[in-house]
Amino acid sequence: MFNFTLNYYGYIMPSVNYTTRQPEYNYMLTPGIINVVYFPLIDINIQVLSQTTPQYPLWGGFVVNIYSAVTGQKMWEAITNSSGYVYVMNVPLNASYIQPQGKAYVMLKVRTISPAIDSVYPYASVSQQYGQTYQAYASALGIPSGYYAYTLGTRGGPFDEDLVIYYEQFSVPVTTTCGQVFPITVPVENLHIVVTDLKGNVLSSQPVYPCATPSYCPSFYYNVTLVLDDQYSPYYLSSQWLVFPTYWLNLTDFRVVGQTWMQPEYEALESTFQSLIAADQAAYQSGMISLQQFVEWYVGNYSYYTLAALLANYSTSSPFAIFTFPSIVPHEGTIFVRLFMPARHSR
Amino acid sequence: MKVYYLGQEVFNEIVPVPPPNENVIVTPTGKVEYTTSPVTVYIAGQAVTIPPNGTIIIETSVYPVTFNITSKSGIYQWATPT
Repeated sequence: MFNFTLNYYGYIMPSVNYTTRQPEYNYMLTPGIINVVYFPLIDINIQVLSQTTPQYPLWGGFVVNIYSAVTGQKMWEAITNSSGYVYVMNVPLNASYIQPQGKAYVMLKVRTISPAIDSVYPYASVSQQYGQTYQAYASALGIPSGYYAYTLGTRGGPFDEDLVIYYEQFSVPVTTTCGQVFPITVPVENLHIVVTDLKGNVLSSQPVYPCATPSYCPSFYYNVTLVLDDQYSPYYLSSQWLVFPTYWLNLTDFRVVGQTWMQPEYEALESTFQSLIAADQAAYQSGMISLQQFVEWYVGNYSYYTLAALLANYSTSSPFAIFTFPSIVPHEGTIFVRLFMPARHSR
Repeated sequence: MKVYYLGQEVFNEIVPVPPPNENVIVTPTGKVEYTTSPVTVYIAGQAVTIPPNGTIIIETSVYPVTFNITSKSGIYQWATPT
């Protein structure tokens, strides 16, 4: 009769029944055949999601680390793939029979890439198979060897490398199925900014009368302008998803301008350029303009249209200086990316 | 970040992103104060409470000026850049 105990990163656990996951003792070993003993460890998937609305999977190189809650040793490291997934092997089940009592959980950390650490980590073969390594990330982005790959949407080193944005206890229920997905929301979110005077009064657009007697001239409004003045954007140190050497799919750019009460103005501008684009199309379809003219007009109007849309998004619909600057998580259709997260500083 | 008000720059400091359960107040001199308490601001004179939810409050170097208009009834509140 034999009993088996596994000491795994400080977790002490008995062998268990494969189906019930309850401790199983007194094994009779038969010579000449392979005896199988199970321990309460399971493989799971973790999906890292942004806290924006809608939520997006954070692809673009977020490192997931699992640490033992008993010894503090690193048990796993992998980098999110294009679905924000990381496969983690051998996480202890949150079972009362695991010693020390009440410690059957792990510490889960999510952080940005630090190339010096993450490029040399000996990734598990399953991480390589699922494209969840530093090397897989760098090559998915088209970054040539010899260049550092940083988390997409951050400024890279030294400002935004190794930023810990999530560090919490993580426990896996005993009923977990193999490969079950656990979504983890991390504080990559929209920036909310309120601008006040020295006494806490929220600043607002102010009417200005451009002559001495207000009734003689129409007034206009001076807006409050908030500028995220980032002279280094787009960041040359940040990771850019590119088709080497010149065709960028994603660029990290933190520059933003927001203006109070200007959203309706920019929306009107948007629809003006939208109708100009429609007029271009109609003119080309009816044979009034050549293909070349159509392309030139279309590109010109489209660039003004996107600029107006961009400014409308950052500006407010009310006169008060309460702004929301969105994090832009890399996903289909984005060109500029930027991730606002705690501990990150903006000039 | 920079703020422009009535054509003047009234703020130019480095601003941190607070954790989701805190707010941060940044003053015109760059003093950074993290807080888990609600922050009260005034929108058109009405007190509004911002819970600790990851909001950045930028305090600009604009001070309120109160005019007492004695020939007519009423008190007029305004704000000007320093």
